[in-house]
Amino acid sequence: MNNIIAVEKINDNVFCPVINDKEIIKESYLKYLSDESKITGQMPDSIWFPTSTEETAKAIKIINQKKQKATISGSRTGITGGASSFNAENIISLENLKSSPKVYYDKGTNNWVLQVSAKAKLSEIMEILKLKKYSCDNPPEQKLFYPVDPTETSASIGGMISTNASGARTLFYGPTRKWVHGLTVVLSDGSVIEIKRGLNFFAGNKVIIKNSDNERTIEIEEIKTPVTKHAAGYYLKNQMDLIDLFIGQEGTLGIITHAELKLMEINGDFLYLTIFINNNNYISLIKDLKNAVNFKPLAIEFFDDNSIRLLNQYRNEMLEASSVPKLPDNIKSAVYTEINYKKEDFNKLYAELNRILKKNRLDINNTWAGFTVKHLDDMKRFRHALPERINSLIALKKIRIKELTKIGTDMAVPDKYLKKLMSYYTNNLKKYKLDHYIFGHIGNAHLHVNIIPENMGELKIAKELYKKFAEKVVTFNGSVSAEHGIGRLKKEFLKLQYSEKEIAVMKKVKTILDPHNLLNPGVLF
Amino acid sequence: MKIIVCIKQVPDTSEIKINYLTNTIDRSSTDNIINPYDLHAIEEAVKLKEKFNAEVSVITMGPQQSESALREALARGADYAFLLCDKYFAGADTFVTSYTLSKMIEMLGRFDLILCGKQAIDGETAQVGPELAEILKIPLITYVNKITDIKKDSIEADCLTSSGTRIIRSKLPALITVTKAINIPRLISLTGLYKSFNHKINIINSNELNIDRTKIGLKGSPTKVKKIKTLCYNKKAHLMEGTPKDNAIKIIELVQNKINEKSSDKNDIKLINRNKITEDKKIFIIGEMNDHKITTSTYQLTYIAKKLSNDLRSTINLMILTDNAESVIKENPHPDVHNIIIIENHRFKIFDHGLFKESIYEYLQDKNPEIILGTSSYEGRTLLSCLASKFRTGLTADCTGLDIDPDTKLLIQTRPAYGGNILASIECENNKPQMATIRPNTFPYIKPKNRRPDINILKTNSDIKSNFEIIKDIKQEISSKETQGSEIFISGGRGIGSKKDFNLLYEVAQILKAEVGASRSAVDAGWISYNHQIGQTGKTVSPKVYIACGISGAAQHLAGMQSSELIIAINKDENAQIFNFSDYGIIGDYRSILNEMFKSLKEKK
Repeated sequence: MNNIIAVEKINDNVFCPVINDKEIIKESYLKYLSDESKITGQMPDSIWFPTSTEETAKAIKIINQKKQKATISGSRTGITGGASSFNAENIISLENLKSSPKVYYDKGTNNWVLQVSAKAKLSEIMEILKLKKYSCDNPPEQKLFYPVDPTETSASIGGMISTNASGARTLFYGPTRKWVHGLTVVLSDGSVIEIKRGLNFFAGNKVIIKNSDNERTIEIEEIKTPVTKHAAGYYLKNQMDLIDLFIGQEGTLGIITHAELKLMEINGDFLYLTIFINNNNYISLIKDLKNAVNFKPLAIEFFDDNSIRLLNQYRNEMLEASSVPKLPDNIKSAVYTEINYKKEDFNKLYAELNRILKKNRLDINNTWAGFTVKHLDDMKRFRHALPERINSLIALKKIRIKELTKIGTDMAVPDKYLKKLMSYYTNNLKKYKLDHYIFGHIGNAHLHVNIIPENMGELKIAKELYKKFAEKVVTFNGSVSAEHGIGRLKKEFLKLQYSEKEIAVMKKVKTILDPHNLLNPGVLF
Repeated sequence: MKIIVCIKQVPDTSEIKINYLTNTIDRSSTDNIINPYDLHAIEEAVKLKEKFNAEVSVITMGPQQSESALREALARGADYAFLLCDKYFAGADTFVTSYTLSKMIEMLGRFDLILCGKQAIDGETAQVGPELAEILKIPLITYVNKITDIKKDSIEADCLTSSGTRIIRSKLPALITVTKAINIPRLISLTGLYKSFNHKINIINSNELNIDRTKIGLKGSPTKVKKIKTLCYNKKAHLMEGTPKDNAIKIIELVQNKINEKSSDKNDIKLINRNKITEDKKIFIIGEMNDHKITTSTYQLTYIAKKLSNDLRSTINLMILTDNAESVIKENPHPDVHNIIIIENHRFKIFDHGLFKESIYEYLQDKNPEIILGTSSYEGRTLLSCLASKFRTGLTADCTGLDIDPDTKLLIQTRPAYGGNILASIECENNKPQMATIRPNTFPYIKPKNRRPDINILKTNSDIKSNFEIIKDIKQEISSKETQGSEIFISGGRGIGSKKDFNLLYEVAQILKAEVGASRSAVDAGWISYNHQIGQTGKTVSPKVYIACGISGAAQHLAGMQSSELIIAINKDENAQIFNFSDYGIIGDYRSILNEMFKSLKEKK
């Protein structure tokens, strides 16, 4: 096991494009000050647009010399304010990084691997693979895909890796972490390291970064993390792979400029299935789907009764344009699942689904099934209509009261606590009569509670409730941030999740790698 | 009851991506789907099955991959599925497709009803249904919104016309083509999927169909696509900045300047003098009447016909079918053509494609027509499809350009396809007549000079029989002005947000004396009626000023408004396609801009 990594020799004689005229920034670059959290940051002095790793390193060196700080910006689709710029004179936007996608077969791990620059959006990655828009010495015959599927397909891969993003199919495929094969990282002093999974480990919990004139030792201590989906704080495990430190660090330890992603082959057929539920048996249904013998769902998603009501309203108003089909009457909730199967096994799969539905006293005819790309697309649009509609609800309320915001939670618990957590959520929300919608990745016991407050009083209650929910989740050994990350908005939850000592361990790693707090100041801590 | 549904698997044109650098369609990026209108045809058949214990067979012609369309049809409740799959079938135009389908239908034996979607979203011809009915010699009802009654031997249906709706009763067996209004297709259930996956799909080749291979596929097709080009747009909107008020004032100024601009007289084309006519390649125009007046679109046809007749040195003959010849004679001035042929019969008071087709065919069959042109209205498309099928010739629907090839003297017919993403040039080499329907408002309406064409009146036998009965003909009150009159359009798309929000567009339009238009998604959402729809599947307009609010700029919409002289786009999404095709653009909320425009226009008043 090698615990020494040498920094790359790079060409220092480059120029990094930069905008440093405040008037021009004010006029045309304001969007770089905020992300989807809609929190607008402070005006920076400079916005850097590196087109390569070398230029990124150059920008960092200049910033370092000036003893300034920088906010790292991808495609700004995060919702925890990670890219909203505060307390930093610089923004480094990675959206102009040049990219020439390449695919190769890694014999060591028996995997197809895609190389892209950090700015590649998820939608671009999907298209690159679908249309084979990559270079490859021995092009694969089979269709390849990248299985992690965050809802927001305009997210950049750099951002997704920095936050260990996940999506509906994380149930089966796991989060981003599992699929990162290699990274190019620019560190806070402008040095560059290239990490490949399986090559550098924290042997004796230490890694040494070797430069021509100096050496730095990163020392870690294991921190216990929830066994659920989790995206809060640094990943720190005994003897872990170095690459894992840079996944989920939210741009506070280094800037990811290039990535190598493990790919999957597409095999077999897909069943897309929405089950409409008219009783209260959804939790047992989910359990049965997860424990099925003949299949293993790729995803299991949930919509509560309020969500169904909202979607029905949307349908009545916008008809086809809502992307919501005419749903059966009297539904209390709905569960969506995706199953990958071999053609010859379909009847076995069907028989088991039939048995599961019967057992939970659900009508097999009260389902919406599909098998083509178009069907998947229709169901995706149906699912995405919900958050879209919720966002427009809050937007309407904001016209009246500008300071009003929606409260959206992002917490996961171990499966056995799902039922308890759901009743805890609904009892409290009903008690305070808050307009709320519960939906999301129920297969991972990871639900988003969205609260739409009517007025500032309700917003205050909702915020307090969120904290209460987070405390409960921690007692259930759950995660306070399963996929959105901590950013600037959820820092108080990090303190709920970890002890002071544990946070001190994380901060220690930060201090070694970024002694001047140059990278993303104010994020995480 | 035996029901047959004809479906087509098409590329999802709403997802088609154009590479504007190479000017090509990215076909590999689109997935195949069942033509959306056909989903409604399947649903209606399955509903009839549930009501009358009918048996539903679904037919499609296409490559092996079309099997998944049939799987879906089975999952939706159809009983039998037939895939016409053979390399000899490939490349078929609408006539040959109809012919091949008719052979399959003959093989299936007795049937009561055939259902088709009103048109396919890729070719958008709306021809296969009518041509198939003509080949099978059964009654046809197109654009059906609702089946109002169905009995053992008859069907009654409510369907769309250019001027409203009508209720028609017809004998069975019959063929109907359906609109999206007819039903809401059900969701496929898991049970449906199970049945479908355990069901046989019958694959039929040309041998089994017992069909003459020279009459099918590309070889047998009268029309052939000669050239395809993607539409090339190179406007890039000048982005306007400033407060909504500044922008509102700027827009008003732009609009007023444009309106006050001296309209350059559109060049009329001179009708070729009779003594210069050398060859006898006659051009016929099938004229349309509305309230005993020749329609504007018919006048527009005479414009392009004059261009063709100059090239061919031929006569232009306008055919009018009416119950009152006198009204045509009195029209002053007459359309600018050589001859007007009026066929008069009291049954011609209301358009009946069956009667009209028979009379026109009877008159034309010994006249050797070189070219027959019609309007691509609901009526024109149906009538010319039946007529073309009767002549066993090709038809090109919805043309936006017509030219004569200088060498071959063939008619080059140009039309948009794939949701307006491409332009195809089509020729009909070996069959005569060459037939085309023309998009209304593609060619100018120019008031004719005081010319006197020869008028020939034919009174036909009064007891001609129709194979259906028109029970009710409802003219919809169209509150908006006649489209071609408006110099300004204010249109809204999905970004408008709701039905109520369209009121703001109406308010501003009223002061500006503009007309309100809409994109397909706004119409689909039910916010505004179809007669406001502009685009490939709606109407084409070419006003002096076009203001697009909350319209993303899909090719489908652009096809209907790109010839506008000045295009101003307002959209929140800075990446909206519409900005690539506009003269001026504002990134922002249309509400604030229109509100300011409203205020400032009110003040001026």
